[in-house]
Amino acid sequence: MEWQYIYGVISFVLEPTSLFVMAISVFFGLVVGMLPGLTATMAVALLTGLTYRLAPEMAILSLVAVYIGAISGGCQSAILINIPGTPASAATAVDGFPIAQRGEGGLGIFLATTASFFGTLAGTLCVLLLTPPLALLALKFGASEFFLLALFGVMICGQLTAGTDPLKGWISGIIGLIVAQIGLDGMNAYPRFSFGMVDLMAGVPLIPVMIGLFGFPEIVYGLVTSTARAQIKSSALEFKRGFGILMKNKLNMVRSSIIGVIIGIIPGVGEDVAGWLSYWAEKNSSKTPEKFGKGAYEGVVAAETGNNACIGGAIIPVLSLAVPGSAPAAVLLAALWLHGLRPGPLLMSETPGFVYTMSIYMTISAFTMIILGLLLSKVTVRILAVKSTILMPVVYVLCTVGAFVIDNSIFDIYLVFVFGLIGLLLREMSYPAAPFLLGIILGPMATIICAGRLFCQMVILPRSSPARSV
Amino acid sequence: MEKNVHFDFITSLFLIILSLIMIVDSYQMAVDVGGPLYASPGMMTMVLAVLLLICGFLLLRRSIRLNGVGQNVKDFKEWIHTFRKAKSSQEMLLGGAILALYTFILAPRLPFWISTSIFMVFIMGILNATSIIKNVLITAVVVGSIYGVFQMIFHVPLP
Repeated sequence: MEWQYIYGVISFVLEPTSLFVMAISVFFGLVVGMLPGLTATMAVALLTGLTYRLAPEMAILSLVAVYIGAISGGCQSAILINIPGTPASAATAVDGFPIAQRGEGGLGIFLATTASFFGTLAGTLCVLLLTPPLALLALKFGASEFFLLALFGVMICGQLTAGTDPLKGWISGIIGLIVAQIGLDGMNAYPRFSFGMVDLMAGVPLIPVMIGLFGFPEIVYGLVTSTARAQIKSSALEFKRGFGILMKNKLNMVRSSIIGVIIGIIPGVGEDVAGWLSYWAEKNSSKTPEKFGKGAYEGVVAAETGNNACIGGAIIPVLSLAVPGSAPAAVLLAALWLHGLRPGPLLMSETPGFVYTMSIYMTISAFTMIILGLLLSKVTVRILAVKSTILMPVVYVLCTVGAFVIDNSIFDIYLVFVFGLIGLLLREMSYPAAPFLLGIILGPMATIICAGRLFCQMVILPRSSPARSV
Repeated sequence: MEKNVHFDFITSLFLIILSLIMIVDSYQMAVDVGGPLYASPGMMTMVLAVLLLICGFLLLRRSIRLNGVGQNVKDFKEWIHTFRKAKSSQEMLLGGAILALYTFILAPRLPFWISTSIFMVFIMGILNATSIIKNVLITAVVVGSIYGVFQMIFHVPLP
């Protein structure tokens, strides 16, 4: 039965249309990933809107592909111009750029892309192995556990994404939870904070909010800093030498993969932390730590393996608990809901094959990523030379189109702008946006019923029922 | 962290006022619907508002402890003065205003290809992104591509 299902999914992925959509999505992800300022979260958010009308299988394939492409693409700009395309590649730049300065840019890109490929596959393996037991455990959760899980997710995300100031992360997450309460209440159909606006009575739609939160600030900053970047030169890829270096880094890649997956499972931490921790672990265990920061191949391999393994790690709680492990995974979770899937504890009983589907999508996307990443590296880096004053208006138009096509509602475009301003304010005042988004996603989980039951179980029942207290 | 203390001070005041309004509103919801408080539509919002209030007070206490009330107000006034004169903030406001123009005026009123063409030519022109001919060409390619892919291939309605 399972083999039949796997065969069906592989057949679907290998259809020409699917391969074409996946190749385009990986390419889009690579381009967005390498453009400084445009993050993987934004890439997935933008494509969620744009793929809304596609069949769910095709849309999810496309989103997984763009997620993998964007996290991997960041390494190219990090290595060639010392500007990480995404925060996930920040650790790659430390040793990647000195490698490029030595005239080995091509080798650096080969090592980073191949390590990304390995990391993605390791993460995929963990999705297969860890999702079912975690989902079975989650089946034992009741309403109050889910309420606490939602609160925990938001708080831990706030704690970990706000750097030295967790209070700001918590505030951001709580405001997100509050925004999720806007609209008709599920029990009494009471319009909460909708100010008489019919559009708000259905609640605040997720996609325009996340496009606004993550896309708008990048666009506004891009319009202000209108500098063109220098043309990039990349040397030959040096496959043979690269494979030799990777063979010497087997242990490094395995360790970085484990770190990446563990970091991915923790809600809200994300690929950037995974990259840094893997880099740090490799540096600490190295016999020549003094080489790090001066173009050590091991540093690039560790950072890229770690951040890509984090993708699989972040998807594990998405599928099993409906709690995202990173900001792009949060957007992916929203996209799964949007396409009618219900990730969470019931996933293994309602759609047991979905874990295989996701794993196959990730595996084939990883293969597409390594092929496109290596073949097109010389072409794609030229996009870095496009001025942001040209690029950003195009991105904003795509943002508005992405928000509009979901409900064909102009109101959603207004929301992009409004939540974009909120995102801009959050960033100016050093508040992380990821807990805000996570609050909106997990808000419905922490509904009034959960709160009410929690209240009953924790406050009323212990006082009134001696049996319970026993 | 200390760089934004005056922001924290203002933000904390805003959060405290917002959470107090929310608590009152949440209580009003419970009164409107009737029944026990924990089953009212305002229960969850009240819990969250109380959490926000606590966070607001913590932020206020920290900002006052670090800078004092008077210094925070003075720093904030200075920031407003600097913000108004800085070129980057003026560019940011201009960029934001053009995006607002497209979002609230052009996109809802005109067909997609007209509104987007006007927006792109206008914003790239104002920001001196490129020459006028290239500007028009880029706009035509972008609008044509989006229109072709969404409207003609996927049959997706555009704004």
